[in-house]
Amino acid sequence: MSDEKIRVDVPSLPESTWQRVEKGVFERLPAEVEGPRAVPSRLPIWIAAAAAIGLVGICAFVWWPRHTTAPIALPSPSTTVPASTSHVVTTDAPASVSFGESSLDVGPASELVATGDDGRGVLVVLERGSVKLHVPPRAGRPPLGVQAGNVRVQVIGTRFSVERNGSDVRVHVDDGTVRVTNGADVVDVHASEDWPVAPPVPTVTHSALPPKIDDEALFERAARSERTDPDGALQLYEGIATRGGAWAPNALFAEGRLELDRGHTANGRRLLELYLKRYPRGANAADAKSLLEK
Amino acid sequence: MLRVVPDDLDLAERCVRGDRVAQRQLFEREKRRVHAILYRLLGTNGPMEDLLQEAFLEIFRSLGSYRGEAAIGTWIDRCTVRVAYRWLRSRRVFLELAHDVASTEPSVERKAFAREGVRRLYEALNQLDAKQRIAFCLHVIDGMPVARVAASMDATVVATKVRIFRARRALELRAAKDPVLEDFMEAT
Repeated sequence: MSDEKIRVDVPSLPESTWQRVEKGVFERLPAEVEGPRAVPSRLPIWIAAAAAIGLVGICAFVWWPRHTTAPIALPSPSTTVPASTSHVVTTDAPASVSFGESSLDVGPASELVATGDDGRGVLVVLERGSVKLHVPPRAGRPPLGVQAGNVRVQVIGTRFSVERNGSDVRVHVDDGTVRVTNGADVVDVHASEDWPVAPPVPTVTHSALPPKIDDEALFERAARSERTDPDGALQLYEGIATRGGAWAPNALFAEGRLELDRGHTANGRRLLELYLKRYPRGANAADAKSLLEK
Repeated sequence: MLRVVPDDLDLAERCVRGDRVAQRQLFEREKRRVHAILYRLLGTNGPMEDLLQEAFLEIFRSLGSYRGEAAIGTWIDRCTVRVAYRWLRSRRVFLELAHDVASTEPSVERKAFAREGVRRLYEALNQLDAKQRIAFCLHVIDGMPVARVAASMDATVVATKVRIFRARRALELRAAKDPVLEDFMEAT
């Protein structure tokens, strides 16, 4: 092992975990980032100091009138927002916002951030709640997109609505067609259609096959719950071992090892001996012998 | 020599201003790499959800002091390493943590071998000093050049090389007594 690398594959996280991570980060983030912060500087200090006086004037011009970061208060039901970056928050009442040529009907208890303009394209990030959009035909200009969690809706010119409740996102199209991207799935949703499509009602027949059991997933679950729920883990291992599939040897070994770890020596030894009897040349045979010798 | 991408500075500035679109861009762009680094440092996905949140909050919180001397990726590595270091220092790492190891090997036997090998590797890494472990994991498992490991750990290249050397020697001693670990390290 002089200078070689060790290969450790990284198991991917389920999409639901990523959604919880994203939600956790962005729920905690506003309070963390708000307030006076140092803007990163790419310049040496003496240049930055010389530029500071000029920046004060520029900031007054750029930031103050356009309200690019603070939520826009919506005192009246209809407001026109200059195209840049806008943060819109509604409480009990809905509100209408114009963003470039597009109009956004923001539902109550909603929050969104819209950025861009008609020339460069518009991206609306829906944090929560609902928004109904009326987008005039783009006539060769960049499209308007709505990002709701992991779901992206892209539109050329149409009327549609997006609702977001945590990771649950729904799209309804009134006119035209939009393209919904969710991970690797890309679906065109047409007028009067909803996304996701409601699942069909399952019909029960006597010839229905029993659901396929994923022993590998069960094994992973058992391994993860060994510390928090050892009894549950043992039950899972036992089920896998009894079914006799490809994961049965590993499950039987793990069952024995876990019983020994818990101090149930007699049962642990019995299971490991059973493992060696059934799978004398199994992947864990050496470990089973070593545990039995202790 | 690390190259600074002008877009990185722009993105960092927008994140610091609280631009939610930029923050989500950075999150989407970097989330898999941050996960990979954390996983290779810890050997488990057990505490990953909390650690990923901590890492990204650390990244967003500290971007205000990003000066653009290095690529933003290095900055993110540094934040991620800090979060992992705190976690390693504050907790006793349980040996069963590496059960969720993935393997692309096709057979069950090979999978079991890889799983057991990685479990023993992280069991051995649990015995190391946290800084030695991080340096070793970033260089030997994650494949980062030593200079980048040093930058991520706020350490000199020489100190980083020493940490990697000591970790490697400790693992070799351990592998000499553990044929499964030895086989695994030879096979990878």
